[in-house]
Amino acid sequence: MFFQFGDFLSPVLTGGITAAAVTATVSSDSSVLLAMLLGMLLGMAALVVLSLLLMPLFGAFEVMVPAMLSGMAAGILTGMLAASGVAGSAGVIGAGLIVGVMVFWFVQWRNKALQGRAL
Amino acid sequence: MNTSVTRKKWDRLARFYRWSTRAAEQRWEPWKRALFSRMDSGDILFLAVGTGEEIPLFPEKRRITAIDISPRMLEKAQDRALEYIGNISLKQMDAGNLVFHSETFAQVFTSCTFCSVPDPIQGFQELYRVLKPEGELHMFEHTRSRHFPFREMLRIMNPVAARVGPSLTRDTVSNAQKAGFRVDEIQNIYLDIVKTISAHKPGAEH
Repeated sequence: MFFQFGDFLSPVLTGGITAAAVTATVSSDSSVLLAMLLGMLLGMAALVVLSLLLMPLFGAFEVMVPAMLSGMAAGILTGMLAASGVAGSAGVIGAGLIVGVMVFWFVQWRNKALQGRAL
Repeated sequence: MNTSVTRKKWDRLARFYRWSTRAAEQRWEPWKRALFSRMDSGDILFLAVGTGEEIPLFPEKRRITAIDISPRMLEKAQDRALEYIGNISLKQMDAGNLVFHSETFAQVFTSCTFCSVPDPIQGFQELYRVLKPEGELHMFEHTRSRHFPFREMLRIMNPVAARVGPSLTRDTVSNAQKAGFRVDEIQNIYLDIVKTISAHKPGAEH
């Protein structure tokens, strides 16, 4: 149960923190393309920091892989949202958290499919 | 990355290694225990013992030579080795340059080793050399993924990860096969990244 909580926390926290970093750095008059790129880089930075903090508590790849996906996907999406001005700060952060939840479900689903005897 | 750089990197990590891998070891314990239960009564080589986290999972009364590239890691492993009920000796050695005679060991076990060996194919060739014909190789390793989007994520992160720790994109199954091993079993533990791999050295041709 504790580790399952970590599996959920890792992508959601990474998505949320990435989105918060995007709202702090991207304004609605920024280039959408550059904002997406910046968002992805911020997502990568967030996942490195969060992985270092969460891995001793919750595992290695089980923390890092969802955080990678969530950081990059949330960074690209929230960069686009923030630069295009279609969502305010709360909406952008909410989108980052939703990306994290979706990544959690996706990784759980893929893990169930791939786990087990492969040869 | 050469041997000296690899040794220094793992020496630096030795101080925090037990703390940083605590949760991973706890999660992976059932699979590691199952893998190590295949240790039998012959001479066993274990790579890379690190700080000795896996030693309590070994079956008792086995004859094990455990190596690691990092002297600092081996210092930390001493306490676990002393507690082991059986015969275990720790040696500082590079997997790509083993000092053992050919056909010394009946079994080789590895744990998260081939993500860090500087030249993995050379490492496997060395394992092949020191194994007896029909000798077994059992590995707990993390490898590259063959599936989107994990394959791409690991590639993107690898330049950073390989600098501070292990490589994330090693094709360990293929590397073992390139060195001559016959792969018998692959068990995916997390996605297709963390896995156990069992292989053997084919016997002499008749």
